[in-house]
Amino acid sequence: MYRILKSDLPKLYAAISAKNDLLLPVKTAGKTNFALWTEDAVVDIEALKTVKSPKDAFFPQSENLYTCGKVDGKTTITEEERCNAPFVVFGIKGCDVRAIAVLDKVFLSEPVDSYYASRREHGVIVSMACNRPETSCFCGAFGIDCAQPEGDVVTWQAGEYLYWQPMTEKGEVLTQQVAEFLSACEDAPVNEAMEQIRAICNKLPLKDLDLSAWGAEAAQKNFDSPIWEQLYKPCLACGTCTFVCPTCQCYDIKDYNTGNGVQRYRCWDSCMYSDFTMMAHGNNRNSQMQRFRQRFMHKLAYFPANNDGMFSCVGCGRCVDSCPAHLNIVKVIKAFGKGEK
Amino acid sequence: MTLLFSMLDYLGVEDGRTRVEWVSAAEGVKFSETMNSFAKKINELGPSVRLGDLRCKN
Amino acid sequence: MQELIERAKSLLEAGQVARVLGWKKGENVWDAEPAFFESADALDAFVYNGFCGANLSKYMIEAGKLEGKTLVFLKPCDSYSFNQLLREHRVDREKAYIIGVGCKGKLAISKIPFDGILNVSGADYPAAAEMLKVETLYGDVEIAYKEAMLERCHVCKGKEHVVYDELLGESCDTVDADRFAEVERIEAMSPEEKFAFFQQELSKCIRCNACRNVCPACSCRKCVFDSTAFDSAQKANTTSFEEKMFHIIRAFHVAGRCTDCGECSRVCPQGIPLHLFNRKFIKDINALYGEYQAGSDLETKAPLTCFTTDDAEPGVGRG
Repeated sequence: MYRILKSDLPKLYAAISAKNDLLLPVKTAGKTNFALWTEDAVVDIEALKTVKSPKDAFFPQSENLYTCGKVDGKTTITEEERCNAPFVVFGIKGCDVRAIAVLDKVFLSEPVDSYYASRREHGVIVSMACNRPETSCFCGAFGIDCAQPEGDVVTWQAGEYLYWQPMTEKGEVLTQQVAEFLSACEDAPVNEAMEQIRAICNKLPLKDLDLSAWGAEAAQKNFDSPIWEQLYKPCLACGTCTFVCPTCQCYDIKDYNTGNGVQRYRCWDSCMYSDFTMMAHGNNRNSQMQRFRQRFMHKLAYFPANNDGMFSCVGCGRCVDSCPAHLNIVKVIKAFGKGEK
Repeated sequence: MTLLFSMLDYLGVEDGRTRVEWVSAAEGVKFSETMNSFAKKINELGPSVRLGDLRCKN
Repeated sequence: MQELIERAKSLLEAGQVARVLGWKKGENVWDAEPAFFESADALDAFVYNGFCGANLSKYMIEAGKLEGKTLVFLKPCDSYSFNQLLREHRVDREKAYIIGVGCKGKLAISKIPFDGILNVSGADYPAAAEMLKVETLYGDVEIAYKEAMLERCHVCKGKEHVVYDELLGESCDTVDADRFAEVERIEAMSPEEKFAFFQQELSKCIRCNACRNVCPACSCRKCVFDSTAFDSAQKANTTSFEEKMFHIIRAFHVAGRCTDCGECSRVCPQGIPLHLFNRKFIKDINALYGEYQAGSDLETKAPLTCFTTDDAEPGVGRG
């Protein structure tokens, strides 16, 4: 275990970014999101949740895949370079680290997504324990311990210090790079901090969220339930829930006419949108109820059915906080949990 | 137009990049003068960074 | 609140309306959701408190396609939106039974700056308290009702409903700011400062389209941003697009029709003050074409869709 005075953190950031791109929570116009560290960035590690999840670091909202053009009458295709420089994502919370494991299941299984894989290979995850969990948090329901997140390096804030524990080989390498700013210390303060966090987690209103109505078997059972007709009604069909979600992984591939060529890019898609999975023959899901159902069935039934029971929700609670109509996955989980099938 | 110009001003887009002029089909000279002076003006201002998007990059 | 439920039940039971559009209790006091109620029993879950900020008038577009009348509860500011939709022939007045419900200012949980909020008391209607008592995981705190109010309530259009069948409940004055003060502050900046201000705000945009989808003025059957022929259809393409185009185009499309209901700013997950675009247009329209409030009535000619010889010449102040 190592530690560093919190007041010395800017030096640590500078040292990390000397050799790596450093992404961390930065406050811009009142809201905190992950962004590239610069000397004048307003770093905000006190914010529990960033508005957008850090999934952008590995799976950006929009990225170019390749560009087509014409040179001397011949068509050229230039592939976008894959990520080839190390970068560090600092301050990821336990739920968001688990979310990366969910994304791995999708993008690292055959056929491997090389854009995503190159970022996973070069990215170092420095996670951080949650000091002040929120009412909308329910990571515990998915077996996540926000007091002791996963990651290449795990950090804790306690008193005046930030505690630093490398967990993997990548984490050790990073620790070596910034060793001059870290000093070795006892585990005791961290153990105490973890106990405090777990005590708060025990008081969270959603800690006992009952998931028994969900899982692989729910795919058949819940699909035709009349409950969906009731639940979806207030949905505005915006993409807020999907775009703040750390696990939503659907994307759309589009061509952009640059005037003298074509740029093929992909961008996040949202199952809430009317053109989601639109094909030449039309749309698979032509009502908002079907699109709404898709989002929750995907996270709570289809994903576990295809991934050994792993849910693709991590309980970060972002959708709970930001849905304009106050709909959310918790209301959906509970609606089916009451046995109103 | 009036509203659009006012909005561009509000967003901090430089003055001078937009202009409205009434030119009749019979006013060839006025048309030529207007276009030439406007082209000169926007060339002086340089690329429109503040309103540029992907289309301007290629 | 009980009064509203009783009235809705009696109208339902008398067969005067086929359903009720209101707000339904959520998990917490602050997350009531818009909902349709089709039976008297269902109405037990009805709620109306300080957190019922959602403007229900847009849901009336869909409700108008259903069989029978829909009872809808509209706050004074929501009634402007309904009127505007009526004017655009997007809702059917005959299919709506409007109860103009009183309002004492609406709250947003995001305006209560404490961690771990478990409960908020004092947000009831009509018995709203001056101070909200906030119970949190980290201790009990208090905040003035006014401080937790949505921005739009600080510049409220007034206590009067502009369209209704009956009125229920009292409203109170919540105005304590000038509607155009913030717009004027920006107008006074240098072009560089203006640009920096908007770039910082708009760079947060995640293009979720919540502002568009909640907007009662955005009721096109097919939005230009949903067109597959359009290069920046619906989703992110390049971050610069959000900063420079999407919001300007949207504000322009609703100019002269926006009632300034403030829903766009309420729902933005990134807290972008989107009302500043709409209000700039409103301020300019007032200055160039005379005072106009969209949705206030059905007769006044809309300044952007009618021509008078007094209209401002294009290019005023530029070029």
